[in-house]
Amino acid sequence: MKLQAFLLTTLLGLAGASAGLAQDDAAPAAADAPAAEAPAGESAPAAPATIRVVEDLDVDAVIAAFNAESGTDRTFTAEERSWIGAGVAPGDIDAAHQGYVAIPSTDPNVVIINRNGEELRVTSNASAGRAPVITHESSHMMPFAPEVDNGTFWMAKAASETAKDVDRMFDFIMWINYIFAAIIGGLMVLFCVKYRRRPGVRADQSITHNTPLEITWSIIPTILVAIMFWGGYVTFLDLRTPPPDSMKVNATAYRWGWNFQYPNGVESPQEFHVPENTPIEMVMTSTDTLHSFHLPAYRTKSDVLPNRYTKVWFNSGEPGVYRVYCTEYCGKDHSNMYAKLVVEPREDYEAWLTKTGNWMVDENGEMKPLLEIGELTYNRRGCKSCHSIDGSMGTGPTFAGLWGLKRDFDDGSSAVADEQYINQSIRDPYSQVVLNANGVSYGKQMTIYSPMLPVEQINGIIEFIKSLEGVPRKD
Amino acid sequence: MTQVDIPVESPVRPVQHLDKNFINHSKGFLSWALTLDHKRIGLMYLAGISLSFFLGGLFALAIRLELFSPGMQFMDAETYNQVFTLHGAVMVFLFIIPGIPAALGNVVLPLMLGAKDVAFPRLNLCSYYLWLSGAAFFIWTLFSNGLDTGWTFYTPYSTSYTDTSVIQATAGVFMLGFSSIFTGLNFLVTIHKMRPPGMTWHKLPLFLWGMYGTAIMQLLATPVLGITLLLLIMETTLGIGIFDPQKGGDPVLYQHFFWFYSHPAVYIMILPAMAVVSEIIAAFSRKHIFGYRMIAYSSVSIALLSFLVWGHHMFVSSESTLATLIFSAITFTIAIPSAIKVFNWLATLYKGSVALDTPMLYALGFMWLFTIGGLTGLFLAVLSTDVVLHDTYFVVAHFHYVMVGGTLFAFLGGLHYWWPKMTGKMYSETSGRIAAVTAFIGFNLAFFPQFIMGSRGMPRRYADYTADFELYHRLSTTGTLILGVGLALLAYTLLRSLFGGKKAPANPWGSATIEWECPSPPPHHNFDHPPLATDPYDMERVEWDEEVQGYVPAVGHRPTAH
Repeated sequence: MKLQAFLLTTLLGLAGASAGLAQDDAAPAAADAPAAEAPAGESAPAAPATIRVVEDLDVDAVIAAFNAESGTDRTFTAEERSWIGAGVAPGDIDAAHQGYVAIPSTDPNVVIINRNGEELRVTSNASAGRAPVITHESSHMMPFAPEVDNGTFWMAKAASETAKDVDRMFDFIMWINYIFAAIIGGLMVLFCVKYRRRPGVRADQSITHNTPLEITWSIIPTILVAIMFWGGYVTFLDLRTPPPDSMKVNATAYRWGWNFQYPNGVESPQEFHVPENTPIEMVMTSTDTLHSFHLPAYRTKSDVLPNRYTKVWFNSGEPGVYRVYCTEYCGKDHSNMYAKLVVEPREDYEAWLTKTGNWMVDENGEMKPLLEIGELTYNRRGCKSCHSIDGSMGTGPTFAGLWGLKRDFDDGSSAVADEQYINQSIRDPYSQVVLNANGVSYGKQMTIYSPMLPVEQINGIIEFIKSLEGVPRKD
Repeated sequence: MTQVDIPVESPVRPVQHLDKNFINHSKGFLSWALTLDHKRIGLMYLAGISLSFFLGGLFALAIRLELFSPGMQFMDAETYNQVFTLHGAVMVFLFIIPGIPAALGNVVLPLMLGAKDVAFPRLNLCSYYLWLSGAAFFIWTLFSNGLDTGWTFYTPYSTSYTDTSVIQATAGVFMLGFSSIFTGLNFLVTIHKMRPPGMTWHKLPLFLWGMYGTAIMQLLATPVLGITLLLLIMETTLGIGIFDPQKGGDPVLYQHFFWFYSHPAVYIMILPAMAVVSEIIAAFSRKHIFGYRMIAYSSVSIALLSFLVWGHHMFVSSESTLATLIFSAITFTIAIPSAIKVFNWLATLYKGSVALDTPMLYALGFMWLFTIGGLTGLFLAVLSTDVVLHDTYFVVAHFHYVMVGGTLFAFLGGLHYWWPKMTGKMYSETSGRIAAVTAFIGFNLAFFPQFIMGSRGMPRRYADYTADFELYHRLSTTGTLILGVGLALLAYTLLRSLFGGKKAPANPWGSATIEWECPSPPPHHNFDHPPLATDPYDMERVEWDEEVQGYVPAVGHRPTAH
């Protein structure tokens, strides 16, 4: 449990620190506004969130345990005690004062960052796939799952007519299952009871075969499976054949996230919106390993492969929010590779598309500061699943304190972490694979972002890493 | 050393036990390590396989405990990925594939034929050492960088993206493959060339028909796996582009190669299980097996059809619509012989004299679990429902019902059935039955909820999940613990019988196959004279004898012709 709490706190610290930093340098005038507002258009809740109170948490006991373990005799102020009461570990209080650890609030989508006495409220970036929901009894993953709350005993809610056809097929097979299981199980129990071994009673040795019976029980299943095969094939053709007027959305899967591209060039990572009652055709490819686009609400799925394009389509139907899973194992964060599908009225969809297309621009039509772009890029593009900003070692080297550091590569050469180093690491990562603190190569893990990342975002990442100069690192 | 040949109408009781048997016939480490005796090799396999099963079971327990609640409990995602990979790889390659053929088959197959040994005893010993080397490579994998590719080693993740010990593991699987090929080759030749007088193909016990079908698949499919893994190793070490698109290869090609072996491998796992169950059901119903020919032919037809259905693992991996159509159709044809077998077993119970001894409980458990596993397979063969269910927990539940509910339960049934013959000891029937029932309940609780969460969208191989799947995961973990208790009791029952068990008679269950005619345990050379084969399911051939507490040849019985 302690480990879990630690992990959650660290995760929060990540979101909090990045948001806090961006806030501090880029937009000091708007200290109360959500710093890392989701590009998807979620706005801060109307009622301001306050610091959460975990009801069954005994703050005194937590502090006593902390003091006993670390051998200190530390006391905490009332404010610090309220943070501990919200789930922050006592050992992280100092970091929380620096703004590196976020404090959970009453709203699961909002965390509070206290940076040198200045309080900020940060809306979670749900589009990045990992909203910091930190009630201790629930997971840290996506807070939305409307489709699984509805539906039948066996299936989640069906969101389209094709999905309902698949469900009818499913129900048909399920009834055959029930009937055959009842016949086989019933006869098994009946025979075992009725013909149980009794003294003096012998088995009837005359029954060794019965050709008409055997032919019957071969033919009946044959007919049934023929029906199933045909029914399944017809619905499968529906699943595979998009209507000619369907709207195209491209999807690129990478470890560990999704990037969606619209025909007008707008890109949106981890989240995509579509207009209601519209056939949508997804054209998908992967930049690294195999992935799979699994959209259970529409009963559709296709593997996503490097160097190939695969397609799925669905009719978006009524407005709703649905989960996209990756169902082809792809390594460490496979189980966190979610995307969010939002089906909404056409006007809302168009507003979203405009806003998303202009995520690097603020309300006045001005380009946002590079640092803010960098921080948003860090959260949107999946950098954060491998590169920490709290100094801890992940799949890739941490961004903390990276700027200006001498980097040793696995081919024996080295370089100083400057603009060109970062640029080359993003565009051509395998040309300079860095060694970790133990002298072991990180290996060829990095996704090659060369065609995907425009120059503004690379510059933003450079600014973002610069802003983390001097933060202590542990690798 | 004496052994009485068994004349059909002699009132003289056959010898039940011998002072000198294959276990104490020679002593010392080398007498086991260098033995050519199929029974000793079988027992060594049994020991190795049981240890592998224990190891795989520990991984399973770790998986289930981790998934008890959402969020990470006691391991991180990378560790979890290694644990589920090693669970699958150890269970499939080290336990289930060799389980019944190499452990039980080695002991029983020559005895059933009244033969002194398998056709190639040295090849048999070689196969055991290949298995040991493969297992050693797996241990090496465990203690180097582990393995996190999933047991399927899908490319390009396995060749280009993981830094775990893929080469050690695939080299191990390569050796295990050859071990399997040698066993299959040996059994094939033994069944063809070493049948006793009177044993025509239609008097072959169904266990041997099952082993025959299995041997065909082992011999023809496993080389493909070997070549595939060699290609994978070549890509990883030499950088030759075969499967990784960055090197000019094609990852789907790997899937075709892999499933061309691994689908027959599914039947390498289940055919021997069906074979064991056919024997147990007939013996404990004391009745002639129903529809002998249909069961025998269905084994061979399953073996042949299994080569034509590999594409149903790839309905959503960019396979063409025409290919999915063909593979779906052929997949359904393989459902028919499986269904026929279940109906035949059911008809064997009808008007039988059914005793619910431990092996029979496992066989009945198998029938039920295999029925569910088979029926839920229909959802996965139907194209439209497979699309949504593919790679979800529905698939996980389905193949555990077939492999664990099917193969494991049949293996345990066979283990209890032939335990008196292998060790010469009877185990406690009471604790054996309690273990069987506990394992059955635990298994269903562990895996049935996985069908529901799978059809509701929970993907497999997830280290973490959202809270809406929590109930199903909790039920599943609870079931796993109950299953574990059942298996622990089973191990205790069998191990205790070795020290405190009663001496086993030659034929404790009243079976009519030949292996029960030699004393328990058999002498080194099995039979003094090749026994005469009759109808293997003519149960009235033997009758209960109070004095030996077992079955002896019936006086004055005339075999009936069917």
